[in-house]
Amino acid sequence: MNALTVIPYAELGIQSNFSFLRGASKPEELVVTAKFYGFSSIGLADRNTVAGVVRAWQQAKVEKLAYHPGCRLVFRDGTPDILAYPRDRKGWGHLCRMLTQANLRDENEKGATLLELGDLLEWGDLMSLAMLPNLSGDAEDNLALISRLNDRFGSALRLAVAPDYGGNDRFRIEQAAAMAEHAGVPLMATNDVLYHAADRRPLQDVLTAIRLNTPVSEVGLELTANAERHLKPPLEMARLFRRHPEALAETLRFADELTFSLSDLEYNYPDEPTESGLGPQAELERLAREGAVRRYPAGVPVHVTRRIEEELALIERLNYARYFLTVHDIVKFARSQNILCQGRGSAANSVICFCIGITEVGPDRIDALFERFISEERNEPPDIDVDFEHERRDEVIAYIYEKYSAKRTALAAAVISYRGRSALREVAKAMGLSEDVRSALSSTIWGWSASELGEREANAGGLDRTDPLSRQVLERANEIMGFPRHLSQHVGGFVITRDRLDEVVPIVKTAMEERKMVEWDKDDLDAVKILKVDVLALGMLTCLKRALTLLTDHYPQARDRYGQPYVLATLPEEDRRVYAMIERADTLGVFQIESRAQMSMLPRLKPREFYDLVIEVAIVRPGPIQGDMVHPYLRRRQGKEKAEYPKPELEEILGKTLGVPLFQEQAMKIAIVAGGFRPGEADELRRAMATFKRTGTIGNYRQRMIDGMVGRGYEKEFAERCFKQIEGFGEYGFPESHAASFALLVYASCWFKTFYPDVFCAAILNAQPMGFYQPAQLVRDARDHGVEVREVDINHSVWDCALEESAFDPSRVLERHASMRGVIETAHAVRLGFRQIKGLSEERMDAAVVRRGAGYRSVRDLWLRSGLDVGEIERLAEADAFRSLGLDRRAALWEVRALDGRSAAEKLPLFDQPSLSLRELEPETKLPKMPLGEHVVHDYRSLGLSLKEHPVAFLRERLTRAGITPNASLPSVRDGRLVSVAGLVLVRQRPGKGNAIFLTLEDEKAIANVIIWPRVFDRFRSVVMGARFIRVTGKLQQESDVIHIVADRIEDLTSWLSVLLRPPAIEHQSVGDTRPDESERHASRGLPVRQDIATLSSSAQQVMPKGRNFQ
Amino acid sequence: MNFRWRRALYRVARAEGPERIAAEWWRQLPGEEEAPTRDYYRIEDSEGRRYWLYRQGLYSSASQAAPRWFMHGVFA
Repeated sequence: MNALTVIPYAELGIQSNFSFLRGASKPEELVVTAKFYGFSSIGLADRNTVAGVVRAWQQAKVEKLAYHPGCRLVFRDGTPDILAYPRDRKGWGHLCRMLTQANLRDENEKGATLLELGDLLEWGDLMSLAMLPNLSGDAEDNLALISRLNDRFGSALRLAVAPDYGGNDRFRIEQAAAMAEHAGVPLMATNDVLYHAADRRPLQDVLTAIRLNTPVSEVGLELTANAERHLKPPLEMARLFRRHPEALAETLRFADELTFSLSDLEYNYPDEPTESGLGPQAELERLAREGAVRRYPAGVPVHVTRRIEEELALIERLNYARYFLTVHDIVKFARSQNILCQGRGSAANSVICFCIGITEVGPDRIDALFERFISEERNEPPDIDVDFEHERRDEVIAYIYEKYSAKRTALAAAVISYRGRSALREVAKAMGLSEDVRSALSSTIWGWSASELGEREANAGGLDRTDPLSRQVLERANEIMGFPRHLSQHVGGFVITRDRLDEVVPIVKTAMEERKMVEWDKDDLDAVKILKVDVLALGMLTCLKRALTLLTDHYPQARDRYGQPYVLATLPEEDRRVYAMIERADTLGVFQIESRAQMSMLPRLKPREFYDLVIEVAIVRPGPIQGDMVHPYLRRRQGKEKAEYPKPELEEILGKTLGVPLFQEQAMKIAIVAGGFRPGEADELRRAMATFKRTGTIGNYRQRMIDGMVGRGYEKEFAERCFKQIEGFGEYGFPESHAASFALLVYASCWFKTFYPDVFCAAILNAQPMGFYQPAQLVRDARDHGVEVREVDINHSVWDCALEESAFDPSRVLERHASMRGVIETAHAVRLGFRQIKGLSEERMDAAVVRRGAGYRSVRDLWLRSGLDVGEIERLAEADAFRSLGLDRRAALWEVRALDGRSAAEKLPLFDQPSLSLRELEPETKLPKMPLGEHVVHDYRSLGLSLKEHPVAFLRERLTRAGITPNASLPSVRDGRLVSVAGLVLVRQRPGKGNAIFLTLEDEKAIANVIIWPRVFDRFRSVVMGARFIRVTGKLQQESDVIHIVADRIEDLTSWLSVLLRPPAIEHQSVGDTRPDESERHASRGLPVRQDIATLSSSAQQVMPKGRNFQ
Repeated sequence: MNFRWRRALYRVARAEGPERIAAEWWRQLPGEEEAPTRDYYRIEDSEGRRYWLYRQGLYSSASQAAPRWFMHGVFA
C-alpha cells in the first residue's frame, strides 16, 4: 500500500458473525483487516446485539486500532436500519436499556429482539446515529422519518449510504445525497460490510441458505449477486464516493464524537454492606485472619501469615476485595443449608481463599502460587469457581437472585457455535446434499467437535474429495466452524453488578421463564471486569453428601474421634487400605480416576499418598500425554530412570513430580526462578501459551526465557528444551490447585468404596446421572465386592436406593478383589429404588409408599390403595417388582390386565386405608414360565440392568464354540498371544486428540479393555461406533497388571442377542400345557399373547446399552 | 472512452453501472474453473444508441487472463 495515499476513513457499518447467519467474518478478522488497510478507526454494529463488541475491542487493543462499540438497530415496524453508537458511558447505558426493553417484551420468545421506533425515541440520547434508508422505497416516507428523527436527535443524526454494485450506484448515491441535503442531515459513507474479504462470499451465501432453510441453489434473489460487501481500503472508498468526498469526512466527524470505551464499565462490583460494618478490604482482612485461626488451631504458621499479608496487599491494590466477599457470602449460605461445596480451579492457590473457607486445599498440601490466581499483569478479576451438590445447586441460585434481585444479576451467556458435526450437517444441507448422505457424514464424526474436517470424514460419509461440490462442502464447513449460532445461558455463571445490570450490558430472555442472561460470555465479562461467579454442579458432591448421610444413619459406629458423624473434612486421612484399592485400579465409580485411561495408569503409577492422587488427576490428560510427560514420569517412578536437575532451584520446583513439569504453576515458577520473570509476567507467559494460536506473541517470551536462563548459568540447549516442553503443554496443563481440590474428592469417594461399598453403591445410584458408568456397571461392581443387591420391590423399595440390614459374607467377594475381604465393613444389602424404573414419578411413588402400611397384598390392592394409575402399575409389573407377592412379571402383567380402569369410583373411598388389603379377583391361572433370557431383556428395558443374569451369559456356549475367551480368563493368557474376546460395548474413550481409542467390553463375569489404533478404527469405524455387542480379535498385551487387547479385527455380533427372546430347548412351561391352547386362552381375554410381549421390545438388541462416548 | 464492436468504433457518451454479478459458485462442475465475475454496464453512445456491455473478469484478479469485453445486447 502506498504510504502517500493514506486517506482518513472510519468504517462504522460493519456486521460480524454475531449478526447470526448474516455476517461471515469473526470480529477479530474484521479488526485485523481494518488495521491492515489503514483505517482511522472502525466500529462494530451487529444486528440488535452487542455480543461481539468485546472480542473486537480486545483485538483492537492488540492491533492498536481505534475502535467503537455500537449496534445496528433493526426494527420490526418497517423503520429502516439505524447504526447507533454510544458517545459516553451514559449513552451506552441507554443502548443497553433500549435493547433490553426490546428483548424482554412479553410477547417475545427467547432469541428475538422486537425493536420499535418508539424504543429509539425513548432511549436514543447521547448516541451518534446513522440511518440507512431504503432507497428503493417511498421517498416521502423516508423524508418524513428523517425529519422526525432530526427533530428528536438533531446533529446526532446522519444519513448513510453504501454502494451495492447493483448497476445504479451513482444514481443511488446522488439520491441519498439529495435526500440528506433536503433534510438538512449530513451524508455519511459506509460499505455496509458483511465480511472482511471477498472470498467469504460463498460462506455468506451458505449462511443465507441456512437462515432461509433452503439449498443455496434455490435461494435465488435473497443471495447477494456479488462479493462487494467486504472491507474496502480507504482509497477504494474514496474512489467510490469521488463525487461526495464529504461523505468520507463525515465518518471521521462521526467517530470523533464517540468517547465511550468498554473499559469505562470495569469494577462495577456489588457493594453490599458488610456484617461488621467495615469497608470491603477491612472486612476481608478480618475474615482472613479469623479464618486462619480456625484452620490452624495449633497456631498460625509464620509463612501463612506472611502469605496472607502479601495477598491482601495485592487484592487492595487491584481493588478486588468485594469479589472475595461476594463469593464468601454465597459459600456461607450454602454451608448454612448443609449443602456440600468446595472451590475449584486456580482459587486454591490463594491462602486467603483457604482461610475463609472457599477452598479446601491448604498451602501445606501444595505450593500455592498466588500469581496463578491473580496477577497485576493479567489485570483480570479472579476466577472463583465453586462446585455445589448438583441436586441442590438451584437453592444456591435462588439465594443469589433473592439477594441481588433480578436488577443486578443474571446468567452469563455461552456462545453455542458450529462444531464438527453440526457444521458439516448444516453446510451439507445448505449445499443440497441428501438426508442419507448427511446422516452418514455426521455419524462418522467423533463427539461433537472435530477440530478439522478432512479426508477421513469425507470418505467415510461417501463424499468424493475431488468432486467440487464435496470440496465446497468441506471448505465451507471448515470455515463455519467456531461461528456463533446463537447464545445460550451458561450453566452456572452469574453476573452480579453494582449498577443496574441493564445499563451495563443488554439482557436477554432464556428458555427458563425466571432466568435471564446477558449477551456476553465469561471471557467477555472477564475482559470488561464484571464480577462473575461460577456456581457449578458436581455430581460427586451429591454422591458424597448422600454417602455421608447413609453412613451416619446406618452405621452408628462410624464416627470421628469426637464421636461426631463424619463430614467431608473429617474422614480419616491417608488410610493405606484406600490406596491399596486404588493401586489395583479397583476404582469403578470413583471420582476422576474411573475412566479406562485412568485405570490403565493406576497400576503403573501406584498412588501411595495424597500428592500422588494430585498427580494422577493431572497426568492422564491430553496435554501430558501428547507432551510425552507420562512415560518419563512413569519410568522415574518405577526407578528405571533418575531425574536430573542442572540446578537445585529446579529440583525444588520439579522434585515432587520427578523432574517432569506437569502443572501450570511449575511452568510459571520455572520462568520466575530460572528465567528471571516477574511473577505477573510468568502468568502472562502461561496465558500466551494457552492462546498462542490466536495471538502469536509467544515468540518474545521464548527469547526472554532462554536469555534469562542462559544468563543464570543454564545451558542454551537445556533452556530451549525447557521452553519447548512448557510450550507443549501450555494449552492443556492443569493447575495444581485444581488437581488438588479434585484429589480431595477422589480420596473421599475411594474411602467409601473401600470400606462401605454398599453405601457407595446406593449413594452413587441415587446421585445419577453422573460419572462414567451406567447403573448396570455400578451395581455389578458392588456385587463383585460381595454386596447383596436386592430387586426393586413394591413392598420394600422406596424412591431412592436404600440399605437393608444384612450380614456380609466375605466369601462372596470375587477372587480378584480378595484383598478387600478383610477390609470391607459393609453390613447391609442395597435395595434398588423405584427411581431405577423408567417412567415413574418420584412424587407419586412417594405417596404410594406412604399408603403402603403393612404392605400391598395384591396388584389390585396396590391399584385401589396407592393412587397409582394402571400405566404406572404396568410399568412396575414390567420391572418385575411384584416378587414379594409371589408374582413374576408375567403373572403380574396378567393381573394388571385384569384391572378395570373404568371404575374409578371403586377407588375413592379406599385411599389412605393402609390397613385394608384386597385380594385379586381373578382365579389363579397357570401361566407359562417366562424364560430367563426374556426376563433379562425386560429387566434391561425397564431398569437398564438385570440382577438375574447377564445377557452375554446366554451366549457363552456359542461364544466358546467360536473360540472366544471369557474376559475373566484373560489374566491367564500369555502376553503377546492372539486372542478373541466379546462383550457389550460399555464405553468408548478417545483421550485428547489422541490416536488410540479405548473400548470397554463387558461379558457376564468381567471387563475387557480394548485398544484400537487409527488404521483399524478406520476399517471398522461403523461397527465400533454403532454396534452394541462385538467381537474383537487381537494380541493380548499385559503390562504391570493391566491387560489390553490390541484390536486387529472387529465384528458386530449384536444380532446374536436375539437368542434371549427365543426360548431355549430346555426351558419349558409346566408339563401338560401345550402352547397353542395357551395362546388361544390368552387371546380370548383380549390379552397380548406371549409373542406380543416379545414384540414389545422388538428385538433384544434395542434394549442393550448403546455405549457412551467420551473424550 | 471508445469501444470497438464488429469493426465499428463507438464513442461513449454516458454510462451506468457496474452491475457486478459474480459466479454461481455452487454450480461449478468437476474439471472446470470458477467462472469470472462480470460487470455489466449500460452505455449510451454519442449518437444516442444504448448498449448493454459486460466485462468478463475483474482487472485485479491475479489468477485469470486479462478481462475481456462482450456485447450483451442492444436496447431497442
